[in-house]
Amino acid sequence: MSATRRMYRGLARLLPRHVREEGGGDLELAAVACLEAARARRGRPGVTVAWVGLVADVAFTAVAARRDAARSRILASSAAPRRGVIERMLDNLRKDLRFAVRSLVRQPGFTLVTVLTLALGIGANTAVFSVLNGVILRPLPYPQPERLVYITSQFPTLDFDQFWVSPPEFVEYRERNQVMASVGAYSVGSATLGSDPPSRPVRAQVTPDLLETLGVPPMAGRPFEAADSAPGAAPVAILSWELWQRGFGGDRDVVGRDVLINNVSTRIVGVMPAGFDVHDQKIELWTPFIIDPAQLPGRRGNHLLYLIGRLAPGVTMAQAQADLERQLADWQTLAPNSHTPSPDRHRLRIDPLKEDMVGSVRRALVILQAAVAFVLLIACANLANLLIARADTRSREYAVRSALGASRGRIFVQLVTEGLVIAVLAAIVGTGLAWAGLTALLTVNPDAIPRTAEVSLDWMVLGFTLGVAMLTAFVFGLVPLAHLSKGSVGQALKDAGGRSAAGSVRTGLRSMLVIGEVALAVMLVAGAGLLIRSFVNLMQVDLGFDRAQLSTFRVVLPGNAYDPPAQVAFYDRLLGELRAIPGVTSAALTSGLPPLRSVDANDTDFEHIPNNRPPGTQPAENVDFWQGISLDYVDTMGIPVVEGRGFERPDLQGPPVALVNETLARRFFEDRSPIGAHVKPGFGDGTPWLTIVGVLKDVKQGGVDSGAGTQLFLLNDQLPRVAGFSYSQMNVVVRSPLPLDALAPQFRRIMHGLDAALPIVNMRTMDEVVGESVARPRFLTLLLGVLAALALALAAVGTYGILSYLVTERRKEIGIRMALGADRRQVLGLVLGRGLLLSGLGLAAGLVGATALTRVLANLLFNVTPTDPVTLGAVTVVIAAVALVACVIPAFRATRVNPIAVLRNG
Amino acid sequence: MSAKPLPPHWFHILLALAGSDRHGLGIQQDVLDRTGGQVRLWPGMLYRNLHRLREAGLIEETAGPPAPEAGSPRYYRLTAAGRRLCRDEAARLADLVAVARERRVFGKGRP
Repeated sequence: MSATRRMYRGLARLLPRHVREEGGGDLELAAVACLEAARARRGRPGVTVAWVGLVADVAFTAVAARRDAARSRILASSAAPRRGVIERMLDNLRKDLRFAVRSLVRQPGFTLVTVLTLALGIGANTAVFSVLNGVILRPLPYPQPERLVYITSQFPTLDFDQFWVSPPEFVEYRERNQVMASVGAYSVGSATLGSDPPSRPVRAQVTPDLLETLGVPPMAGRPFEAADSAPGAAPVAILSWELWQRGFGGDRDVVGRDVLINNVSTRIVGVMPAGFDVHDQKIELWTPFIIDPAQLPGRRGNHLLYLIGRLAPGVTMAQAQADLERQLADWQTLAPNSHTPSPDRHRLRIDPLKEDMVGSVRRALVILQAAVAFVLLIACANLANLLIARADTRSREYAVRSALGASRGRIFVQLVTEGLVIAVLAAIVGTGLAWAGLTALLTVNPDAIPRTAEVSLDWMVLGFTLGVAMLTAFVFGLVPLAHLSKGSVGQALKDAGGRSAAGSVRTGLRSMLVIGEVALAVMLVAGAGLLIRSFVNLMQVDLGFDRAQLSTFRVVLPGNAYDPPAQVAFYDRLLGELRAIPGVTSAALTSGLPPLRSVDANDTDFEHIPNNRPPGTQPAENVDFWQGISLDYVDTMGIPVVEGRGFERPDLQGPPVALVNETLARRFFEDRSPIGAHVKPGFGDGTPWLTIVGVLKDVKQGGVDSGAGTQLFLLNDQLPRVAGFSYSQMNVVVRSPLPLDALAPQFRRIMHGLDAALPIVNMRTMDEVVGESVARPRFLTLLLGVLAALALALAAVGTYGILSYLVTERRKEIGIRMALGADRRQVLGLVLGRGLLLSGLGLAAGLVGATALTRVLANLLFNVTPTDPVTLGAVTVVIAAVALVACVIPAFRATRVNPIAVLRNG
Repeated sequence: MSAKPLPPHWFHILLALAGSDRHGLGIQQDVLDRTGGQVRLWPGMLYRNLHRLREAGLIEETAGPPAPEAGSPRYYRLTAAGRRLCRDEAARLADLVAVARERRVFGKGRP
């Protein structure tokens, strides 16, 4: 109970002294009695309500007792007890608050516009900055994250950067480096978990040192040990917290249980803590990456690992870099004449892990932040404008109060209080907007930005924006005070609503604010316009296939249940049943689904290009994308055959054949025809030469905004015979005018009938696949578009505001002009001209700023230059139209000024 | 008899003091007991009104029984004016209740 008493004692300090003296020490006991009575009647909720009652009681008593005191002072004319300074200040604060709230309630329009304007600025700023903070500024969720580095390979001659590292390279780097406390490696794919029904979580195969390098131990069970990655080790796995919750109901006894992973009984040895991840891959299942020292020499070209290292204490990035150069210089001596790292043709690179995770979106987020800052600036300019306008209308009020004896200090405090009330209201609404905006942002596009799991509403940012808003309210709330310099009071009293020198100065200030606002809005709209245009270009890119009416899903055949001929037979049955669905035109398979997949970059021999050639004289014999396809793939996708033919039924049993794309034909055959030429994919020894029988039109594989890359198409049905393997993971593509919703049950039925243990993964329409591949630019465009619209609206409000004020201010002048014979058109011209002049100046300033600023957008744009005249022209038209609308309303109001009324009333 | 009603919490305070002299907490407790915890005199309201009643001469401070613990609270008792006002209010309410009874507001089952 003593805590309750202490709380109430603090509250009771707000009570007037005579009431406190009346109660003495019993005041708190009386409060406790109320709380006890409430608890006895209604339990805990009652206590809460009673607390509200106590607060209300104190507030009411504070106000009412003052009335009592005033009354008794007047009636009894007895000397009032002397009151302390703090009490007087609190008293004044109460009065000011009451006054501020009353005057804001009296002008609901002003209050609404001000609060909304500020709230939008605060809300947008907080939402975007929260994302920025979570993604870029906040450290990675590992201990000492600044010491984590990311190690990748580079092939300068092939133009590959941040490529994978092969197992021998990993082992050698781990042994030879002198700067790392530890180095781990991982490879991400997916695995089939369980059998009835199977699921397909994202799986990372990691070396046991990876978890140690990241420095996060499992929350239950044990981490991987070195023995787990030895060849022949008993299979083990660690679950992510999320998979543990979703797949195992958070069962504590899961550790030690055996589950099926890719049809192999695997023991679960641990569970990672919630949110633990590598590289934002949303990994759900961790298994050891098996390294067999006996097989390492043969895996030099097998680039499939990403490396993460932890720098030893005291080691800098520069030292790590130097250590790497030292290793590169003599790496060739480890395995001469083989695919070994070297200083020029096959480098490794080291980057800070964080730089790698957020580097790609850093620029986009910084641009967004700048855009939000613009919106906040515009909002503040609007707020300033509104406050100045209000100050003008109230200058008489302040003059009167000043004449009646209010000190400048009291008026000052009161103005500040009003600003504070506005800022606090705006903060409340703005926090709501920020929260809603953030939620919307993260639900619209969770995958477009990394590290979204760590994003939450940022109170620091909220505080910062609130501070900016308060400062604005504070500074511009003081404007009327400038009017009240000594001696000007009489002037203000006489100057009944007319113009004064101070008034025209303020009009100038307000005009500057409007020009600034319009300029900022122009820059934002120009930036958004460029991104929109760029996105439209992106969507109009010819993908090389007809994506309408295509549905797709993924099939994964476990290697221990299906040998290559069985895989081909399975695919054949599957395609047969799919084609039999009524309404399905055709069905086919591809191992690589366009338009966005990771590059294969596989060594591929061309018969006409001599081996052992001097470096640099011929293109490196490496093809960006390989894909195994079924017979009908080219037809199903609608890919045009440019030269020769596609795969045909006789090829199933015939000699080995291949298709290439236009880019490959150009790169390796220049102006000759590739038809009939021979190519040998690097499957291993004994692979026969394949004859190229056709050239296909380029299909996007590396993203809509990239070139097509070189592509080699293999007939999967031939592969078991030709290369002794077949693709075990295939994307099924089905062409049908039916919607996916109608097809999906059929797909499931067919798959279940063929093999109930196989999961169906990634069932989507091809339109969705394409949409996901451009998620990030779409996200940025959407956000910047929204911000630009917001800026435009705020600038329009600002323009409208100053013109309305102008009309009010010059009513008398307009009335006289009309009385002297000015017609409506001239009056219209007077106001419109003023408005358009301001907007025009803002537009010009904005366009200059835009040409300077849009440069930073350059590498986010696609087929648009940062100074694209069409976009800037469109922006000009849009801004001019909005400005015109904002000007027209006050201009028409000016024409309705009644000269007689104006002249009579003065 | 005054037709103007007394503020209800004034009446409650005066009624509490009509039985015996009490301190503020005692008044609050008496009201709580009488009303089954329904009428709570909040601390600010209680002591502000005690102050006002005292200034209006309806109650006055009195020496209470010797307090066993330190910091003895103020004791109040009704003045003659206070007792008169309390009686008037009670009479006013009784008149109202009589009218209500005549018009069978309480229903047939009750006297």
